Amino acid sequence: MTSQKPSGSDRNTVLVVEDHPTTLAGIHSILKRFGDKIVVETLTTLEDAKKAIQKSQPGLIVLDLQLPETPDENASTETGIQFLKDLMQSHPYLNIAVHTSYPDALIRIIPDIDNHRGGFTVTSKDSSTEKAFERFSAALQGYTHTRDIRSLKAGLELKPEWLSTLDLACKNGYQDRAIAKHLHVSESMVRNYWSKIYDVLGIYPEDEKGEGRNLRIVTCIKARDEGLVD
Amino acid sequence: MSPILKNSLSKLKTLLQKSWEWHVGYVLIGAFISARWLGLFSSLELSTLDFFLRYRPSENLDEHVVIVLIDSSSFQDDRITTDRYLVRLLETVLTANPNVVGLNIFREQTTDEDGRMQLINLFEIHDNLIGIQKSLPPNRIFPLQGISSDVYENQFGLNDVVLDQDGRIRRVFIGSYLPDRTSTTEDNPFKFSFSLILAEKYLKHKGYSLENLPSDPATPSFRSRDTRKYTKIPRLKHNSGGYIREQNIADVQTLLNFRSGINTFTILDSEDLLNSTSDLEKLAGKVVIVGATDPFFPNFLPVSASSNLIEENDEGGEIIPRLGIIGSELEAHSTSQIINSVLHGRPLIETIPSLVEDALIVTAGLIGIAGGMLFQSTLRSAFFIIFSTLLTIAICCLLLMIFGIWIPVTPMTFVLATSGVTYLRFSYQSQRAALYEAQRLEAERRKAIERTFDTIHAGPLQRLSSLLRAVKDGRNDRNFILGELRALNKEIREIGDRLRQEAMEDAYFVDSGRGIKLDLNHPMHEVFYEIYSICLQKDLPGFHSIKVRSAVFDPFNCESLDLEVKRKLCWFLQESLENVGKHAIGTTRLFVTGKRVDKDYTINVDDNGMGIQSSHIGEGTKLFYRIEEELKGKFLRIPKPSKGTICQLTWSLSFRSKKAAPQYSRSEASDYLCFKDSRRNIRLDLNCPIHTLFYEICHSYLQEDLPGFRNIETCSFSFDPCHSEALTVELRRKLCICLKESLENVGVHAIGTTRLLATGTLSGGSYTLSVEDNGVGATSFEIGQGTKLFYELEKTLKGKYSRISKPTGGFIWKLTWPLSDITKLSHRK
Repeated sequence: MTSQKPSGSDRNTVLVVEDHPTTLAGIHSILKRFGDKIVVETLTTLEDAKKAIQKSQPGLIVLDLQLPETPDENASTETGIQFLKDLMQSHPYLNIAVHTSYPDALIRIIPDIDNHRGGFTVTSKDSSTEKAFERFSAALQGYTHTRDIRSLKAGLELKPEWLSTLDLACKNGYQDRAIAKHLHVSESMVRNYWSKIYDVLGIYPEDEKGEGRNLRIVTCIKARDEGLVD
Repeated sequence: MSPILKNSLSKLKTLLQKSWEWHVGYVLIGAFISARWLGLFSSLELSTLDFFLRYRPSENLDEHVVIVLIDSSSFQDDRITTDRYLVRLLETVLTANPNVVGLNIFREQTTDEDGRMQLINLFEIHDNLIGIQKSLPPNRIFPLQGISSDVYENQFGLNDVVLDQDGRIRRVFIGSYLPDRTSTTEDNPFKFSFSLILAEKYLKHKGYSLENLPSDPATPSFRSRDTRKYTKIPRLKHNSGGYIREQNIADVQTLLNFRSGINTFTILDSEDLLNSTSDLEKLAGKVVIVGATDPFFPNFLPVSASSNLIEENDEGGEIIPRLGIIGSELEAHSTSQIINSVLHGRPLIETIPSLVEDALIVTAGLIGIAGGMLFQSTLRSAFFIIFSTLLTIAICCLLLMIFGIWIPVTPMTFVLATSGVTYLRFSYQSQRAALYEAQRLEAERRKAIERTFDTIHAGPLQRLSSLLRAVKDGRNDRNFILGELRALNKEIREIGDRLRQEAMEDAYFVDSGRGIKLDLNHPMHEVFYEIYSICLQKDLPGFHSIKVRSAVFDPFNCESLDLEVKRKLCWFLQESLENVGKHAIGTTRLFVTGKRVDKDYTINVDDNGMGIQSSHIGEGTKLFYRIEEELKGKFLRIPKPSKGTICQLTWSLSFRSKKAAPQYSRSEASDYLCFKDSRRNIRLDLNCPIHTLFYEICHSYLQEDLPGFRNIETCSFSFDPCHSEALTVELRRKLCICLKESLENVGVHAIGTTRLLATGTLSGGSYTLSVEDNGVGATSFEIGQGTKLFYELEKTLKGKYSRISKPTGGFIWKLTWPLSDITKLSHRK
């Protein structure tokens, strides 16, 4: 649940990949709210972004979807999506915040996002600064927020593993370690499952914690309400 | 200009334009002309000339020329051809008062001085006695030694023969410049040929004189003293007729138009004449050619004409007709052709200018091209080409026979036939291509229509059906209906745009109604997910109650699938999900998976809703079967035992879509594999597991408006899966028909049925199919067509068929068969 922090530094590097100057200014103003906690590095092409990620191991990457591969090329959503897919493949623990005008383009890689183990949040460019900041920080902390791109009309979409996790936790009262043992996965994977379950059930860990509630219990209650657990 | 002419001209013009599209015909004509120019046709043309001349009808015996032959057997010692003997013979001949006498025997040297003197004397006295000399290289034979120059000038002609490249003699000398005197040929003395001198002397008596043709001084001609008319002796040139740059044609030569047949000239034997056994009267007023030959080994020259000698000498009736003729005969032919031409207008062989020849060849080629394209039907064109080829040959033959005009018939017929056949082939091919194109377009059109319908079905029809449902459910909210109708209006309008767009960008699965544009070039599992996610956003009743859902699509290699198939797969997923939304009311869990197992890929849509109540086979289901057929896969729709339906499509990943294969037999073949009932619009694939077929049949036939079905309150269908691969298609079909029949029986006879149970149970290695009702039951016990079929099936399956009437009312129809036997059965087959 915690982001990978670069060793030897208490400050997170935030990579911003965005080619449009106006939007960039907007993102910077949002990121200013983090204050000293972060170091911002700005890149305008995917090529540069790839190099920078190799080099600096960022705590968070804020990414637009419409990006050019090289400065000469035109920006296209397709290259952005492809980049994102590759990024999730090669850096499964990287925290990613997608800031885009076309969140729907992400629908087809939802399964990939579900498999991603770092934080992943989606913000529409027209959402408020407050909201965007929340999402960025959630991503930085390794949480997932993808409700904007999920179809929510017809029930909740869960992966079978998540259902088992819920079952084991809420019905049998198992802890993460026991669940991991039952499902033959690592403990960190189980934590990742939880993060995804929070996202699906619409639980905001920060808020709940702020109100002094136990996240797991809140989740179980909600899952029962939704009919996920008998 | 008359309209007919105008019409045909314009037709010709279009023909020309059309033929110009394929240059091949013109190239062919050019190739033929250049091949001819190179001389490739020369020997063929000469042989054709021989052929035509040889097969003319026979002519009568010549009345102007007589041949007297001396028997000179060279291997015998008694050489009778001495000067003395010749003098005796010539004197005898001359007493008969012939017009001209030609001595066609070389007598350059002699040992008999006396005889020689007499012979020279004879020449000096008779100016109508003509001698010969061979004056052209390689070896020359001079006339009689000691003859006066005056006699030499006027009474000696050359009798050289000229051979063609193929070693045959087709032309003769009229005259030639003697070689070797000076360097320029024209300054050398000109010598006429033996045959021309004979003809000239003879014709002089008849009132004709040898003159130069005024229009062409180099060409000799005979002019009538009375009519002042010229008769030309055609002069051969290097490129005349079939000769191509023939250097052998020197000075004045003409083609030999020999007399056809084997009865050409009167031939008398010298001994007969001397002994007065032969009639001397025959020689009077004629041209007499005195020659010598060896009757045992006649020295035949290679001419196509037939010798008179052979028939005479052959008594057994076995004629060797085409050996050629001896030298004296050749001279006789040569003399005779001039005399007959002048006196009787018998044609001499003439050639036409080379340019005209080429023009004729081009014309023939054009006729061939026209023939190949003029007619719609290939057969007619072929007939035309054959006909015109034969006609060309016939015309050329007639021209040669009647007018003596030698036309390049060989290249003409060749180019006509070749260009004709080429164009025939081309137009045949292009017709075929057009046919294929039409078929392709037809397939394309069908595809477009299908796709249009798919689009309509997936869009407005869905909305319409949900609107209908809402209205039926009593939702009369005016605003809601208005809104729906507006949306419907919009959707229908958008279909047009969408189709247009799809036509432009084939790579997209577009649904602009919902603003979705999916790129089919993306990995298919991602596209599937998108569709899944888009579908579930729809406001469909089946989706309202969903609590949990899950979708996992394994990636697979989809590069081998073409866009059309990919699009179909997308439709499949969308349709099956929308089916859940429309029919599976009360679904709480929806699991959608795309799984890769070995080489197969399976899309599985699993819900736990009510299941499809009306099993009317809608457009969607038809689409499923179409996809199944296309992908050579397997489509299944199985009701789950608890609740819910599984909709499944499996296809092999090794499937390669074929490019627009012609679809003639496909529908037939697939009809065979289908259980069809066109009256009810039912079409089931017999390759599906048989229990699903049973299920489909039950559902579809219960939709029938039959009296027995009207009171049904509860009905239940459950069919255990059975190992149906062992059943042949025919058996499956029969089983389906059986079930259908028994259901219809219930519908027709079992009035008042309230409970209908149709089951298929698997127990103890045998399968039982049963239909149970509680209606009135059949009263008549006649054995109908259906019942016969049951018994037949019972036999084939080694099973048991029974119809039991229940004590409480109603019937149980039952067919049981052991599964193990079928396996054997099919193996045996």
